[in-house]
Amino acid sequence: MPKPSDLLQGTLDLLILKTIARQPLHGWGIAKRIQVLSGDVLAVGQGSLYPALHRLEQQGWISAEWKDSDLGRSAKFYVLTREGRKQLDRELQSWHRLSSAMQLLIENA
Amino acid sequence: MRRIRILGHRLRSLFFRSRREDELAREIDLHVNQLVKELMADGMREAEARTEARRQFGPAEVMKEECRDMRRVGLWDDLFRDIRFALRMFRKSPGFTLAAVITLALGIGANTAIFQLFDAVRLRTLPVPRPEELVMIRINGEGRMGNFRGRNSAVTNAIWEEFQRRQRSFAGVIAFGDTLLNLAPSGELRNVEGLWVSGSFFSVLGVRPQLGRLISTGDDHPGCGWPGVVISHAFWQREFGSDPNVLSRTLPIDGQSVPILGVTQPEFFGVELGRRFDVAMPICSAPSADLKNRMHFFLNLMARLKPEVPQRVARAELLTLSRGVFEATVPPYSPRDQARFTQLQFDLADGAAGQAGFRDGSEPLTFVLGMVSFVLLLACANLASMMLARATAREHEFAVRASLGASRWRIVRQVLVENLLLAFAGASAGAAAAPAVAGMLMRMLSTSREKYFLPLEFDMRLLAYTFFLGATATLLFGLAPSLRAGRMATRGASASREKFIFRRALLVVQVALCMVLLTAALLFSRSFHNLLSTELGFQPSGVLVVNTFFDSRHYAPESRLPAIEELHRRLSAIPGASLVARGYVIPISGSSWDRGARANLADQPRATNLTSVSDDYFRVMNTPLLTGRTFNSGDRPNTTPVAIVNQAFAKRFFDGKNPVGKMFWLDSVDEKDPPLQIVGLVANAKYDSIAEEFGPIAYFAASQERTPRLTVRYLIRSTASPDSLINPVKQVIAGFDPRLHIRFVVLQTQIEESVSGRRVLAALTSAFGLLGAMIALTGVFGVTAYIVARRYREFGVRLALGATSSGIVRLVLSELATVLLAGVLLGGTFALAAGRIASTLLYGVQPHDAPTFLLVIALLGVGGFTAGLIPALRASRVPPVEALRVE
Repeated sequence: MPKPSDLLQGTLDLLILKTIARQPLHGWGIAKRIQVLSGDVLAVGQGSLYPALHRLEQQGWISAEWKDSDLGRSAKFYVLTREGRKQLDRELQSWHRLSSAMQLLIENA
Repeated sequence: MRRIRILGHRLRSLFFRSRREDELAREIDLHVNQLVKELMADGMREAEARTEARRQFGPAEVMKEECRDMRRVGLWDDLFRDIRFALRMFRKSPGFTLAAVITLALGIGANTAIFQLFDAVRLRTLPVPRPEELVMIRINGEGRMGNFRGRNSAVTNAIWEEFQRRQRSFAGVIAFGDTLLNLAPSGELRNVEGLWVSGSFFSVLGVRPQLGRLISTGDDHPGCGWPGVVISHAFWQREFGSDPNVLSRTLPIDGQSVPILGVTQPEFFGVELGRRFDVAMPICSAPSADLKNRMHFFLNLMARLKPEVPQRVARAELLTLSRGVFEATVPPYSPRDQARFTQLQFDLADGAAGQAGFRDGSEPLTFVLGMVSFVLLLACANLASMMLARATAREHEFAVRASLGASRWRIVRQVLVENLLLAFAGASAGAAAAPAVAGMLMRMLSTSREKYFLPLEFDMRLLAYTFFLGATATLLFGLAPSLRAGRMATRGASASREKFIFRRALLVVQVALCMVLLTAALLFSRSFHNLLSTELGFQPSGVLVVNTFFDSRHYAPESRLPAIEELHRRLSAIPGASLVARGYVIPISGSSWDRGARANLADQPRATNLTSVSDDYFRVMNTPLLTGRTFNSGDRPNTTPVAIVNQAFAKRFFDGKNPVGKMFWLDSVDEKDPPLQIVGLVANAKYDSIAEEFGPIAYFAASQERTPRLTVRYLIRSTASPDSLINPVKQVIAGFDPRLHIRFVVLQTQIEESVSGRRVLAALTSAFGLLGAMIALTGVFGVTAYIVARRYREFGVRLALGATSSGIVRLVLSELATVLLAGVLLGGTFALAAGRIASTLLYGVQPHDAPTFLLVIALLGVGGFTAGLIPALRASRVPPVEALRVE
C-alpha cells in the first residue's frame, strides 16, 4: 500500500474547512468525503483527522454537536462557525496565491 | 467573541475532562467500527477486518494524546498529575517532608517577621489620605534653650501660633506634642499616651471619626479649659471594651471629668512612628503657664502641601518666613542668645511616614534583615543538598519514567513541582507564624515605661514578599536537583563516578554562612554582656526609686522643703529600707539636665551634666567619695552654694587636680548668680546611658534649693528585694498625703531596660546563630553520610586491600576537614565584612575580635567533626564482602 501523501498541516485544515463548508459532517463523513473527492489520492491517515478537528475546534473555527446520523448511532457533527468561514476564505486565498505561484514556477522552470 | 469561545472550550476541556475523553473515545470507536463494516462488506472476516481497521486508523492512543495536546490542557493536566504524584511522594517519606517544610518555615517565617518590622519602620506611610503631601517642619540652627518636654519638643506654643498666622504656602499646618497623661485621681500613676493636637490636626491629616466627632479648630482657642478629648480606637477597645455609649462617659484628667468627644478610625495611631496615642487633647488645654512660656518647647510641626506648590517652592517660602516668626517669639534669653535664636530657620523634610524618631534607631533592623536572609540562604543550601541526595536515590524511578517516554523536561518539571510544593508549604507556615514573631519582638523592645507600637498588618505586600521568598528559595534549592533528575533520566541509571564537587561546594556555603551567623551571635551577646557588666560608678541592684509629684495647689513654695524632708524621714523608718536619699535626675532614666560651666569667668563655657541630691545619695548609690565631704545639714538655702563633682568634671575643668575648695560658674540667664564652691570629689558615674564614656557631673545640694521642685525622687536601698518595699511605701504615702501621685521604678530594671534594643539584637542573632548551626551541622552529617553511602564499595575494596578502620575514618574526616576549612575561610571573610558594618552596634568588643573568631572556628570544628564522625565510623565498618556484592 502506498504511503499516504504527507499533507501539510495547513492543507489538511483547508480541506476540512472546505469539506464541511457545504454541510455539517461527522469525522467519518469528512474522511470519506476527502477520500472520494480526491479520487483516493489523498487517503488521509484516518486517525490524524481527529487531532486536526480538535485543533480547529480549539481555534473557534468549527463547532460540534452530537446528532443522530446515517450510521445508525448518534455522531459528532462538525459545522463551520462565522470565524471559520472567514478563515476558510483566508486560507483559500493564500492557497490560490501559492498554487498559482507554483504553477508559474513549474511552467517557466 | 472568538476569544471567549476559545476560553470556554479550554475551561470545558479542563473541568469536563472526563466527558471530553468519553466523546473522543466514542468518536474514534464509531470511526473504527465503520471501517470494520466496510471491510467486512468487502468480504473480510470480522477479526481480520478489525486488525486491518486499526491499522488503517493508526495508533488510537497516540491520536488521543495528540488531541489532548490540541486542547492545550496537557500542561494543566500534567500539573495536577504532578501535584498528586508529589503529594504521594511526600506521604511516602513524611520525615523528610517534615524536615524540609520546617527548615523552610523557619527560614521564611523569620525573614517575613523581620521584613514586617522593617516594612513598618522604613517603608510605610501614615494611614491617611494622600500622605505624600505631608511634610515635617524642621528647624535648622542652634539657639533653642529651655524646657524640652517629650519626644516632640521642637517649638513653643508662641512659635506655633506665629507660624500658623504667617504661613501662606501650605494647604494646612498642624502642631502636636506628646505627654504622659495620668488618669489616676491619686496614688500610683496610671499613665497613658497623651497627644496635644492643634484644632487643625485631624482635618488637615484627613482622619475620620469612628464615633462622635474629632477635635476641630472651634475647640482650640486660648483659655478653652477642657472642652473634651478624642480617644484612639485601640484605647476605646482596651479601656472601654468598645462601649458604644462611650461618648456619654468622661476621663479623669487634671482633677476634672473631661468629656469624650469621639473615637478615631481604627487604623490611625497618631503621627509618630513606633508609638500609639491613647488620648488626644487640644493644645489650649495645656497648663496656661506652659503655653505662655516662650522657653517651653513641647510641640512639633507638620504641614500639608498645596497640590500645585512643589516642595522646593514651599521650602523657599518657609525660609523667608523664618526671620519674622523667630523675632516675634524670642524667649527672655541673654542678648547674645537672643541674637542666635533669631537666626533659626525653618526647613522641610518628607513627612509621608510621619514623625519618625523611631526610625533613627532602626539601623540594627537593617543589619538583622541581612542576617536573617543568611539563615534562609543557609536553609536553601541545606535543602539543595538534601534534594540532590533524594534525586540520586530516585535515579531508578527517573530512568524508568524516561524509558516509558517521559521527556527530560517532563521529569525536570515533576521535580520542580515537588520543590515548589515544599516551598509553598514552608512559606505558608512561615507566613502564618510571622506576625506573632514580629509582635513578640515589639514586646521585647518595649519596656515598662516605653510602650512601642507598630501597625503590623499582614497585607498583600507582605504576602507578595513571602511568595517572592518562597519562589527564590525554590530556585535556590530546587533547580539543581531538578536538572540533575532530568540529566539522570536521559543518561539512564548510570553508575558513573560522581565527583561530589557540587555537594561539597554547597557544604562550604553552609559552613561559611553558619560562621557568619555564629560570629554575629557571639559578638552581639558579648556586647550585651559587656553592657550589663559595665562599671556604672554606682550600684543599682537593691534600689527602689519612688517618684512623687507634689501639687503646687497643695504645697506653697515655702512649705515644700519641710514636707519633702518629713516624707523622707517617714520612708527611712520603713523596716527593710536601710538608707533613703533624694535625687533629681536619676541616672540612665531618660531625663537629663545640662548647662555650660566654667572654672574662670574668662573661660569659654563647656557642658556638664547636673543633678541635685540629698546627703545620703552617694551612700545609697555606693558611689565612693574620694576627697572632701558630702552634703550635710549645714547646707541650707541661705549658706554658700556648694557642689560635689566627679573625676571627669575635675579633669575637664581643673586639669585633673583636686578641685575641692575651688569655685565654678554655671551659665545662666542671670549673670550675677553666685559661683558654686566644690566641697567634695566623687568617683565617676554613668549619667545618660550605659554605653557612654564617663562625663562630668556636678551634684547640687537638694537642701539648698530656694524653691524645691514639685517632682521629688526618693531612692531607697533595700535590704531585701526592692519590690518588697513597694507596699510599705504605699502605706506610708497614704498616711502622709493620699493625694500625692507616685510612680515606682526598680533601678536595676530601668537600667536593664535601657538596653532592651541591644538585648533583642543579642537574642535575635543568637537565635539565628543557633538555627544556623543546627542546619549546617545536619548538612555536614547529611552530606558526609551521603558520600559514604555512595562510596560504600570503594571503602569495602580499600578494607579488603588492607586499609585499617582508623585509616578510613581519617580519610573521610580529612576530606571533611578540607570542606570545613574552605567554609571557615570564606565565612571568616564575610564575618569580618559584616562585623565592620555592625561595629557601631558593638560595645566593648572589636568586630575582628580574635577570641570570638577562634571560638567560632573551634565550635564549627568540634561540631563538624562530631557530625561527620558517625558516617565516618560507618565507612570504617563496611564488611568488604558485602560491599563488593552491592553492585
